[in-house]
Amino acid sequence: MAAATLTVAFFVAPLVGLLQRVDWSGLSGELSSPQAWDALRLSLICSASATVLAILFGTPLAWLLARGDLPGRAVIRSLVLLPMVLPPVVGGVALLSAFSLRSPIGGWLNDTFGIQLTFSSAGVVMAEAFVAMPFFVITVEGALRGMDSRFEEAAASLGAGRLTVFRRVTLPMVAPSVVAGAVLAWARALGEFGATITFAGNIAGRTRTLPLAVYLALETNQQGAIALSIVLLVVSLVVLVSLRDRWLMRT
Amino acid sequence: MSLDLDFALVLEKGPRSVQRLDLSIRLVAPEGEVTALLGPNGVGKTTVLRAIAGTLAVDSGSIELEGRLLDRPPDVFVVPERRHIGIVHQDHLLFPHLNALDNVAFGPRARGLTSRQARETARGYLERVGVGHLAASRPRTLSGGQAQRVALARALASEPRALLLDEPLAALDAGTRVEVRRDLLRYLADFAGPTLLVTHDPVDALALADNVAIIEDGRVSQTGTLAEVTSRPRSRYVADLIGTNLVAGTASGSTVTTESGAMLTIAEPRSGALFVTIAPAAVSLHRREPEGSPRNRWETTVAHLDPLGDRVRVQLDSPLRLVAEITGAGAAELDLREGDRVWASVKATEITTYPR
Repeated sequence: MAAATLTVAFFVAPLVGLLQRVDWSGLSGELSSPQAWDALRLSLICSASATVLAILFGTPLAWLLARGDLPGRAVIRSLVLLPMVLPPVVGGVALLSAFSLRSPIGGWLNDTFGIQLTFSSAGVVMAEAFVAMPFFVITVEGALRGMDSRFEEAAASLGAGRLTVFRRVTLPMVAPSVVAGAVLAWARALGEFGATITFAGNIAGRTRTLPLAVYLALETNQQGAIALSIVLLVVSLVVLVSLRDRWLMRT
Repeated sequence: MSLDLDFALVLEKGPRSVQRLDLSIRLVAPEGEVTALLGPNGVGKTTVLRAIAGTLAVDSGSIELEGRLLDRPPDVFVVPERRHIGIVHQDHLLFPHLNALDNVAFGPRARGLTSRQARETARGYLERVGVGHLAASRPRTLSGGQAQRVALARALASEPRALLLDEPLAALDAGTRVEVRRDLLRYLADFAGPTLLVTHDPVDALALADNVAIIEDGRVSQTGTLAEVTSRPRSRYVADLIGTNLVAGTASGSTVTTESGAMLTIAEPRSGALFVTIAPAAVSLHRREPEGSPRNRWETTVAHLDPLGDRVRVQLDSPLRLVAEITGAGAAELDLREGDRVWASVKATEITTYPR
């Protein structure tokens, strides 16, 4: 009992610390500064793009992992889930080695299409997708695995081809998990720091997302850092509330 | 035009193949008729349906519908969505995210109708099975009987060439069951193709089916009308179903030697391998060796007593493991206990025989 109280206190103390240092009257002023506004806008655009990528590419992969007749499925799953346990900064270094201008792929992209991923907003999206996609894949795969495949067989017996079955039966039946996975991935992308700063750098207006701005502001403008932190805290709370049926109501 | 099954299929269930199902099925389901696949649970009835539906491939042999091959390894396998087979499952499997109307419209839509045409068709089918007023309801708000009707409408709306019913009444409570069974009979009468009904309940088979096929140990052991099958049981399962004693033996004149080595005298001379049935009520029990007319008498042990209303079923031990059914008064008079030695007798004229 005492240990549990201590643990809860451990989680509550930083939160209270943050809240009691907020200068509520100056909050709106801090948040409306051009720097804060830029970081917020960039963060929203990049994390939303990363989430869309995660949904587009993650859904077929989740289906294949759950249902496909895939050789080496366990290995593929481990590779996909690796970014969940990998220190983000290591992920950033890895992305850098693969896609920097001096790497074969990065060089080719730049020579052929003039695309430079490092130190660009596209690089931010990539770093965020790299870190966030596994959360989406694992959530949707679990839902697909838990779904009774006889519903899909029933749909096939009614004359629906595989794509129609997926679109009209499988996807709607796992929709709650798709939404949950997307929200999780988005929250993870929004908070991404290590991989982003390593791979995409810290360029104002281009790659400086909210977490980077918080870190930077801490050196010069503590109230600004706290104000931005509050924004991220509110987002986290919204995520928690939107997923409450999945986690908080567990009995 | 009918549904013709002649296939073999081995199915291994569980991660370490704990259960092995070895099916070898030969069966013809005629069009416009209901054929019941009747057998104990776990013998592979549902697996037969899955092979017909195409969610399982057969190992050898063929499945043919209206002369069109659906499956014949190694060269023919029609995917489920092109087989035109309607299925009604025990747990109905209505899509939970669609209302009743859209569930029924799913088939017509998948077959290429516009969503407006599909809904119109669906409405017609819902009304035909008497649940038109439930069009807007979600499956989870429907009662078991209502859901089963919607499931039937959904199967029929895709205009299948054959209909498969997998224990369609098993999940319903007794009252609903009688009602749905009665209505099902009416809807099935209108269906032109072959219908295959899987059930473990002989009452369903009797009420709904024109023919029955008994399935045991992965084989179809008997086919015919239910009356034909039950008047001449050829397996322990059918004998138990109608509550009679079935003994396999070989006749020579008026003596039958059973497989356990016991001898029975029969009234009409026969020869060769045959089945013998003896109604439980025709087996009399006595404390002392009976005198007089019965030509079959032997001493045996009471293995088990089973009260059944005002009568008692007495399971006898070797040499002939028959069930005798006596009145409660008779049982009291004999004062039978399990393990008692008794004399059993059967009149020769009470023994029915037919070739094996």
